[in-house]
Amino acid sequence: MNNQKIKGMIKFNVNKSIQNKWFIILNVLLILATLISTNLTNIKNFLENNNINLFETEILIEVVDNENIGFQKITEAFSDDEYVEVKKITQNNYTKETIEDNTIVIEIESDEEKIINVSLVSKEGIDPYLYDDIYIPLSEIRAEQFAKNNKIKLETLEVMNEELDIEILMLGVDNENAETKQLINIISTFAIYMISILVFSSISNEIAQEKVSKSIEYVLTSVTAKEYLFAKVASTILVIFLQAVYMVLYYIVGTFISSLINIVQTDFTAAESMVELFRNIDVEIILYLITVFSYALITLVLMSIIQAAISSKTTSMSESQNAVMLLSMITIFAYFITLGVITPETNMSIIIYVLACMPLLSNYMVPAILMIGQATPALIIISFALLLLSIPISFNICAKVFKNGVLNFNTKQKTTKRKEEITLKEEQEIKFKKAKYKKFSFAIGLAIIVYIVLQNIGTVLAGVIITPFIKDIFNDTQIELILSLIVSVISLLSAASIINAYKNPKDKVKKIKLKNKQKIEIILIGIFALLVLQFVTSFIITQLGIDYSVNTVIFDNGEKNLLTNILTILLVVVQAGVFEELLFRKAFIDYSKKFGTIFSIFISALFFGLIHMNISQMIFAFSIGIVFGTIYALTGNISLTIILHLLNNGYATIATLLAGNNVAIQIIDMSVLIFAFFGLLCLIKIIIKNKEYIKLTLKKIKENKMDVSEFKYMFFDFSFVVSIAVIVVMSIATEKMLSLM
Amino acid sequence: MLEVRNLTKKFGENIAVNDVSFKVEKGKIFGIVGRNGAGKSTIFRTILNIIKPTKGQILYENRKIDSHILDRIGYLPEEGSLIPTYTVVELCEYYGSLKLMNEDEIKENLLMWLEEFDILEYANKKIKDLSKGNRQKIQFIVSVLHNPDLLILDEPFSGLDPVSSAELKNAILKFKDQNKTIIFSSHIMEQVENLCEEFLMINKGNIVLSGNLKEIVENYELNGTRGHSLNEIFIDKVGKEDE
Repeated sequence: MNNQKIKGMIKFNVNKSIQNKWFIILNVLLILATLISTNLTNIKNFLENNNINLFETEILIEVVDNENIGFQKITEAFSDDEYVEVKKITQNNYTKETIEDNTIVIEIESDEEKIINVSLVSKEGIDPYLYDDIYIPLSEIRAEQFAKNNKIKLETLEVMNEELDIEILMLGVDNENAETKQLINIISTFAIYMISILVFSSISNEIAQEKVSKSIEYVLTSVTAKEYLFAKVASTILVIFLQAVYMVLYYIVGTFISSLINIVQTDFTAAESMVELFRNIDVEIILYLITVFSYALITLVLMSIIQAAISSKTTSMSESQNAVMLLSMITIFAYFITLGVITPETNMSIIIYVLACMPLLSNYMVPAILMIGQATPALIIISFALLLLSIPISFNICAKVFKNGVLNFNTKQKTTKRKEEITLKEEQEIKFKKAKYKKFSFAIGLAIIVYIVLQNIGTVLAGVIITPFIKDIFNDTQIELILSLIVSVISLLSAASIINAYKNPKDKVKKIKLKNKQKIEIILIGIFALLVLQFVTSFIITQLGIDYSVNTVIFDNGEKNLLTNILTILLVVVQAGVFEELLFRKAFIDYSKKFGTIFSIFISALFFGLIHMNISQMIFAFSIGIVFGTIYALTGNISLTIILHLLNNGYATIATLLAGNNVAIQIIDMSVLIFAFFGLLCLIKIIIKNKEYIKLTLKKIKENKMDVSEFKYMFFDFSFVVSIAVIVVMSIATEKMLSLM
Repeated sequence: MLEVRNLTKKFGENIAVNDVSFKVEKGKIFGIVGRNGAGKSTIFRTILNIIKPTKGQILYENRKIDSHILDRIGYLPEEGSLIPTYTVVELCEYYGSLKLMNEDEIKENLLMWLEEFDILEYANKKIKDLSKGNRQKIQFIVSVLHNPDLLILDEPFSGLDPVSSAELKNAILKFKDQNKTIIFSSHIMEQVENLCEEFLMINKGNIVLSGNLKEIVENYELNGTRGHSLNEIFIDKVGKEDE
């Protein structure tokens, strides 16, 4: 590596960053902030505007002490102060008009309960320093008085007044200075995190800028990628540390100004004060401090190198901003993992030691282990050696990544060998198809995610917002029902509107005009199909042994009255019937029909089943989804499936509400059977009468068939995969819960 | 002075440059012509050691190119190498420091060239505030700032108006008069005809024509006649290769 060039680059970068107007503005602000924070008391005094300057204005303290219990003490307290005069008077006759600015009257008298009674009379607020000076002799007077009254020695009282000092000894843990160490740990973590974000974004920005402007190509004719990477990382870290030096300077200036304003005569020099400070600090703490900061510093260098390699892959300034988040997220993660894993109760296992040796993790884990006194010398040596070693290794690896990234030579062009028979045009067509599926699966995935999130969070939100307003009108069960009704409707509608927003307005099932008679026939056929499905699926479910009769669970708790029943019917029948149809039939099939009729029916039924989240309902919902989907896909009449869905849910609900009333249930069952019978007749009639029409429809469906192999394109979308995974996980959890009930 | 021997560069399965050889004599202007994506920039990048050749050798004064030789080469990349937020002076300081120049050398050379192009007033302007023509001039200045012996110009005339083109051409000729070697690429044949003595025509990484420009243009037979312009020869040669 050419040292001269690296030096030149570092010099240029550092100068450019420091002689930059933003750096100057930032530092002016920092100077102000440091000055303010080091001079807070001065500023407070200035702003309060009542600063009777103790050292210049003469102050007259007049004491009313007719029992003669405290005058002596107060006089002694101010005997050294030439600006304060203490005088004894017999009575306080001052009023608002007559009292002077610099006069303070102290009235003291003994009191049975409070020992002494004191009042301070002045024109305006008293300077806090002066107040302290008055308070101290007064509290001494009180103590004396108390000792005298109770006939105990003053010294005994002083002992009692000291704080209880408890010595903490944990024999199992080397716990010395634990609190200080914890403090150091937190401060260093926070500081390093802030610094690393600054360093990362600075590195990332500079690299992105030079990459985007293509100046990197020129730069690389003069220096190698390695030299460039080294200079970038080094100069950025240097700038940050220079900034730290500047800040220390500001702090020193701030304290100087503070002491100038206060004119406090200090007897000792800076060196003396340092000695004073460090005399009280344990060697162990110093060692700990050094350990923590050396780990942090080296880790910072390591992360900067990695950050540079990551940033070299970005192609725009906004991307480079996001790239910064990546590594800082990982560091935060490492920090929280450490917090969780390493506590004083942790039994150190070999796995934890191995983890702690890993560079990046060791920055957090080694100090934590050290803090709870479980660190072995081997751990520290190995982890530090690995950390040091990781710098040249990562530097060499990252330099390669960096060069390829920064020059955009990741163009190991994907020479996916085309099959001979596929032409270029066909390949492009496949790409378009993929994009089409991806868009569709993204819309579905997003809709399902929003549906699930709203279902789960919505109840809480709605509960917080709505409950206070309706709690006097309805009882708990009713409120619960109302909330679920609102949330279900909102989440179903939101999901439907997302799909509608994504689909093209042209994606629509053509609505066929039906006569009323035809509509009734279709509904009767539907009832027949539902009845058959009910038998078949309940047979399957019983065979599988997963029948938990979920529906009944809802109604069994809470008392039954008319309002509750109505709300229940509204929830189960209307919400499920109407809004589920709008989402799963209308939105889903409208959008997906262009991929093939069978596919659209299948995918809508699949998701209709999936969102029920438990196997027994899934099977039934999927099968009626097929029936409803077919009806909607063929006729385009959403009202038909809504009616069927209402009937289906209504039947189950009414049956549970009427539980116990056998006659009524039998009547309903009978009528369902009769309707189903008519449905069967209708079906037969239609099949016989419209042979040609059915053939035509089947032919149409066959033509509008999707290639099953294309189904995999659906899984190319992140949201889709996530939504499916979430549903699977939630279903398994629900299944487990139900089986335990 | 510069010799390229059997240079081949592959990106994955794509062959960007295929077995290209040529020699450039000291004090001459050498032109490389070809369509967009023909492999011109790849040849330059391999000469400049930015990328490594898959096969072949590149020699400068019979030595392999190392960092010392690179410091004696100036390069004008095709797609702008100017950091938009820097001022002209800052940029030259940055690039100059990479060529180990000190402040005085940078100042002297920069002012000399700014005067030559008559754009002294832009010295403290940011690159992003300059027009395309002026940016290209600055780019040229950056590439000759350290007074290199060999100057490589990748498409120096692209996107320039006729006046700027003429100014740049004069600057190139002035630089050549100091006994410097210049290689440049272009797809504007008139510029090549005006400037070059030797030239190379490549298509899809392969050499299709090379040698003395005058001789080739005079002797090239097209439809049985001679005396065609380079432009016609280019279309004939490169168009044929495509079929």
